[in-house]
Amino acid sequence: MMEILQYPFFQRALIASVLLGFSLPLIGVFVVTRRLSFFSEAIAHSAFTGLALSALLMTPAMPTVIAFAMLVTLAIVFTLHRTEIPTDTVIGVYLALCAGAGILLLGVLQGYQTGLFQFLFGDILALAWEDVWLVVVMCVGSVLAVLAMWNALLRVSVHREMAMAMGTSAARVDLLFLVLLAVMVTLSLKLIGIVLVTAMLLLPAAAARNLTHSFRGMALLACVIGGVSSVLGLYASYWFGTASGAAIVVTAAVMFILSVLFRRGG
Amino acid sequence: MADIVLDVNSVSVEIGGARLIEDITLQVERGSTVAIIGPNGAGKTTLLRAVLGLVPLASGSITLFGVPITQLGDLRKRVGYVPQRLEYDRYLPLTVKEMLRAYVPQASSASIEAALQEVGVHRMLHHPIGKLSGGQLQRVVIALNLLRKPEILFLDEPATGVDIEGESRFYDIIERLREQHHLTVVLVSHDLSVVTRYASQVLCMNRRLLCFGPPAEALDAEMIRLVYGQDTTLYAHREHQP
Repeated sequence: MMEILQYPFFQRALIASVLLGFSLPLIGVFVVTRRLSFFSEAIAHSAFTGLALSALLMTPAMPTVIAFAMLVTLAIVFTLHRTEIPTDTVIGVYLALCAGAGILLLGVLQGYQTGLFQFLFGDILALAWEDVWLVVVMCVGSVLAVLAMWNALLRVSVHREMAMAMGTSAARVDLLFLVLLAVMVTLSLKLIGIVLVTAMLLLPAAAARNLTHSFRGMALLACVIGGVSSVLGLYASYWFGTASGAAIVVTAAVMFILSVLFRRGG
Repeated sequence: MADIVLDVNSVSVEIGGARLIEDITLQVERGSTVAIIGPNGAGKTTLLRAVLGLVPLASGSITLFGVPITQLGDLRKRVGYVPQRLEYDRYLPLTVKEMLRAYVPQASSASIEAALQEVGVHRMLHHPIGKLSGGQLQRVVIALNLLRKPEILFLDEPATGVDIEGESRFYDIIERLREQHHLTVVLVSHDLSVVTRYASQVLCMNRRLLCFGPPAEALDAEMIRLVYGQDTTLYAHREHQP
């Protein structure tokens, strides 16, 4: 079991997956609490369009994808504030728009699909050391950002109008959190892929929610479940010779099922 | 000269093209309790939301502490608000202490316990908010407001969903706190006994202003019929009799 640790590719995968397994669930507790799972899905899919755009415009891939994700985030926030349409419907509209535009552009860019799918579905075992450094920066940055916004996010989550009446700018909190979420999702995509990003955002937080009555407990437990799922999943993929990202997702899903079975009463 | 804390001047609010309140004028003196009454759909909550700066005005102006409501900035720290009911996810794992800490991060553990003690829910400190009854939760929200040391407290039908005995206790707490903390209180209520027992001024409205003044002067049988409809008859509830 330990011999695999001598391989640099496994060391890099282990460090990156544990760090992302710890930091994505910390954001995930607010994604679950604020029912934003659909938003992270929409941003993940916007990367399709962003990447196709970068190929079409011949601009650098990652900055274009992030810029497009920011544009979609701002468009969603703007529409929410300009209309009375429910949040999930607004997000659905932009998800459909991104999917449609992405498919259109893919049609124009025949032959580019291979690169696209590599980008979107990631491979944690193929990370280079510079990718690991990017993960370190992302994780430290996102943890610090979430901790700085912690109370404001909780206030807006509990009662938006009470928070606003008492001086919290709910629109600013929403925008900052959605931008953070969009940046983390887009940066993680290339590293670990859509499935693993959304799984790490949602599954540990959802499992932790079943097991505790305090918000701090939920956050800590989500980070632990995310980290443990990453290590167990990575080793499971080594033992069974399966895809590592999928093994991490399945491990986190098993944790969630266990949390349902052992859910605290009432 | 009266110390006016809140000045509402000819305010109208329109949402989605519909005029919800029209030409409401109101002045609230420091230390008073003003009750806003009216039938369902009269625009009471809309008026409160306008006063809190949560909805834009179609016309008119509102100043709080002498400052336009849209420019309150740090003065919002002096504003307390108890919404009608906390419509939150009942299964959110959040303890009472965590909720109070989120809204008042600078509060010490001792001051949190003292505030909860003051409203009689100190045993709920580590309870998840989803497990509290409606009355307990409203008292926790009062404690939250006390921690912020507001000068003016707005309450929007705060006893909705609380039984009559609990409602009476709740308003007794508000009145005691108003005296102890020198608060100005503006509350929306549908309950005339609350108005006559606790309010120094009453504002009756049905989209437009119908009356404003001390309850004994402003609220006669004719006005009550005008506010609540011609078929209204007054009965004394046994729980509310002295």
